[in-house]
Amino acid sequence: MSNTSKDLIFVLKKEKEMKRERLKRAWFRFKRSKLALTGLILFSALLVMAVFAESVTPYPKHAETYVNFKMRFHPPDLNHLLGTDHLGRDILTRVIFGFRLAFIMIGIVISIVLPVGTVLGLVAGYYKGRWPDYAVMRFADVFVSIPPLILALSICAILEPNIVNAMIAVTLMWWPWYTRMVYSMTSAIRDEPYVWAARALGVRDVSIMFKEILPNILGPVLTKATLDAAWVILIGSAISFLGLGAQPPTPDLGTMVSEYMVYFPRYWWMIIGPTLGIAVLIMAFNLLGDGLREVFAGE
Amino acid sequence: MQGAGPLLSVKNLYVKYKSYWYTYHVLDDVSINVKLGEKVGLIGESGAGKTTLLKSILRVLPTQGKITGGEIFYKDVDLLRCSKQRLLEIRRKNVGMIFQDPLAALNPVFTVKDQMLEVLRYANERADMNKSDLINMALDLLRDTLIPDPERVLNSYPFQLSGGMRQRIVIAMALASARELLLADEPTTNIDVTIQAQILKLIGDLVEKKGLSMILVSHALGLVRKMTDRVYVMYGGNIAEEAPTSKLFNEPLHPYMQLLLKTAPKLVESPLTEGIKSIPIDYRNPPTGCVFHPRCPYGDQEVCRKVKPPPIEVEKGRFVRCHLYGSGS
Amino acid sequence: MHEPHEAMLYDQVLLKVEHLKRYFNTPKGTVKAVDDVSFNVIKGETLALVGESGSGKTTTANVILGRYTATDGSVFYKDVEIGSMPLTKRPLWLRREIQVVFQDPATSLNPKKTVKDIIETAIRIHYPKLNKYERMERLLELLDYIGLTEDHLFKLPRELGGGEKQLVALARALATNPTHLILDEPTSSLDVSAQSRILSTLLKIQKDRGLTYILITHDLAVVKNISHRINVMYLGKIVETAPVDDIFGEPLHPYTQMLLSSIPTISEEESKMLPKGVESRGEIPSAIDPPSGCRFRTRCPFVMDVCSKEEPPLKEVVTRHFVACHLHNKNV
Repeated sequence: MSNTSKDLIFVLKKEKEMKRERLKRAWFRFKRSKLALTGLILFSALLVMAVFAESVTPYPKHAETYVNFKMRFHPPDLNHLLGTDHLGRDILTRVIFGFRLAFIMIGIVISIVLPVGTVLGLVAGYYKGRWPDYAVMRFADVFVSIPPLILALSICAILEPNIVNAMIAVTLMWWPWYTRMVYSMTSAIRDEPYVWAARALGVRDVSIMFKEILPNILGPVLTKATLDAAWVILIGSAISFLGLGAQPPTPDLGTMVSEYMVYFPRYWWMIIGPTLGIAVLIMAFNLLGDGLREVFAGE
Repeated sequence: MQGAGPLLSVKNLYVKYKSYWYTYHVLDDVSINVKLGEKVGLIGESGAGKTTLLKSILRVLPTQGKITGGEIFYKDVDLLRCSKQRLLEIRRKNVGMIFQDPLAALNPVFTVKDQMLEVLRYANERADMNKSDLINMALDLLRDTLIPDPERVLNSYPFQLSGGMRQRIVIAMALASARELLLADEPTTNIDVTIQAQILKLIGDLVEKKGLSMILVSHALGLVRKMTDRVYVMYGGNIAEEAPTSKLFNEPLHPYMQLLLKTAPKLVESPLTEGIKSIPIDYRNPPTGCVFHPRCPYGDQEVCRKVKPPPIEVEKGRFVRCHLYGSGS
Repeated sequence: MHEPHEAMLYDQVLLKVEHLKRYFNTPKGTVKAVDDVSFNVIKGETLALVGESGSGKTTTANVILGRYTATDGSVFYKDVEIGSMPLTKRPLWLRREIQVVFQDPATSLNPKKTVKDIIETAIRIHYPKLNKYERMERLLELLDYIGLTEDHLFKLPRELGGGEKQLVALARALATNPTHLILDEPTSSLDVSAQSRILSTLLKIQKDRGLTYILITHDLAVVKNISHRINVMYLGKIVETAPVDDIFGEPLHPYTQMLLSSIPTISEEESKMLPKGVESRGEIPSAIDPPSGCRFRTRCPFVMDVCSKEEPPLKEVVTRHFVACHLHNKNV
């Protein structure tokens, strides 16, 4: 008996090894694409900068309220790689703090939208043609029927214009798209023979949704989430740009663009920093998403 | 027919698939030939390289597939070295193919007429035909395949027709360009036996009537037995055995074919066996020596593990790649 | 026919299908997929449902399995009416006893789960008291019984061969200790060399555990090898029912003869067994508007006047050999 249980422990250990092996292979597939790898490096670099913004930026105090009129409108040089703005703040510092804000925004929005959208889509898709389907999907349709930007803008306009409300707006306009995607995939998978086999075994509906169906749709959903992160940045920036999101002096990239645009073209360098920041951030997420797609497709 | 050289001859063909990390040795020294008017079968389980061989002949391998050795001659045209134009011409006018999934071979958004005329136009380019001639040809082909009411069928969309009907249309389209050679890749998988019987009879009759040569690829033994004169048995990218059909089924020589016939579920009284040891071939790193030796009941000899058996002519027209019949080693 | 084994008793009916009807409403009309079908399944036997696609064999099995509910009529399993009970409403004991093996193991196994996870789920649900190690022990036992090894445990379905995948599907069904297995074309997507392995495993299981099988297939060689009785179906009706040897020895219905004569054979010996003269022709008509009288008359070589007027009843012609055909419907 003790002998067999030893064997069993050995077998269970082997399971862990096999799992590690699979991860390794997935990493190989990811690595294969040079662009995806670039995306990952870029993403990690930006994330590290954002997390340690206080230590990596040359003038951490310039992030928020700080005025130094002596240094205002200073063109790019070695001390201020992206120049300074109308209050004499280092733009590079502010852009890096902008990354931090963008990451926080993405993190919060995705971590609400992804689970909520996915669960709602799973339930609606699994019970296709019954009341959960109608309830969830019609509710989603309401949100989808309003142009996203207008929806977000009106929410921000009704509520107080600040960064939290901007995030609420983006979240509200974003979840139905996940729900719809998960819904269509789930309603296709729920009639697969392996789902029927699970039902025949007596697996409960909830388990079928989360253990049988979810692993099969997670890949595309995560890929979409990564690619969408870029859109979250864009929309968030647009809201801020229109003055309904983060307010100055918050170092939000969109807010900065709207603030600095006034001084274009005379002090042209001011606008370069934040726009470049937005572009780089979006590129990182897009490349990363492409890499993920490669990993999941390779299976 | 006698005296004429083969219509198609494939000699010592090697095909490799290359992925990012691995090279798959899919075809390994494959030689076949098809004479004029001859019906040849290719037997083998899925993954034996049957479809790859057909694709190599038509030169339609996917981009990662490379022909790395050997030669393919269609009559006197070297298919591996001839011009693209010549190749297209052969595909359009001489050789026709019935694909594995005939239902997917029809485009759902075009009518049967659109699709047939396109094939016919290419098959008859420079023959100076106008549209009504082509339509008449299409109707003739549909009549050949015993389709009732061909005028109506010609103007239908594929989804308006039954499975058996679509199958016939695919055959008609293959015949449009098959003036000499018909390649049929599993033409009746996933089809009811009754319809299968009809389709096979139809193909057999048409090939006979038009004097075509045919290569029939299948994993269904009974089907190949019924339809062909001569059979190549493929295993692991090799031709394991070549023999006239009746001789092969009465007295198979290669252990693989023997096992296959022994294990196939039969109608006559015979015990079910455990099947052949299931060891799929790793094409990245195929077994040394004879590819079949890991599964072979006689495969534990040293020569099987070390030396790749050459094709041995046991009697006239019967070749087998197996050391059991070799005197040379 | 292979030997009826000890557990098989002809008077012990496990499953009783009575006047089963299953219709589907489509925009073009009502499809009568199964139209008044009655038969018994005896404990321990293998009953084959044979016919072309569109004959209603799969629909019948799906009603028994609970994927569809009956439009009319009933299905009794051990005196419980299950025909009107969808799968999700069935009690756990019922789901444990009726298990299923699907046609294509590539789609019937979750592509993201390892062999261990797939089989363990079945054990966990039906034997919740076992701990992790006991479950594992049971799993290994089962794997060994079915002819797989520890090496297969942590593989994903795509890393297995077709035959092995089907064995895993079989192991999953067996993990619950069922009494009744529905086999939906268990070998038709497999290579010849893998087919006999599945079939001999099925025979072994039946011999060891006395399972009852319903086998749905269009491959008559498979039927011949593992079943005891055959129901031949055509367009939603049973046209002939008989023990296997009778069907192959003396097929009475012209449709059965057509099916048999269509089998491609692999030896002279086999060809001699098959009926001659009934060549396959035509295709199965639409079940929306089936032909009047005998439904097979549009393809039958022996069609008579009476065929279009009257529907032939299913009559016992020889002992345990029933046929629905006017050729054999002579009033004695």
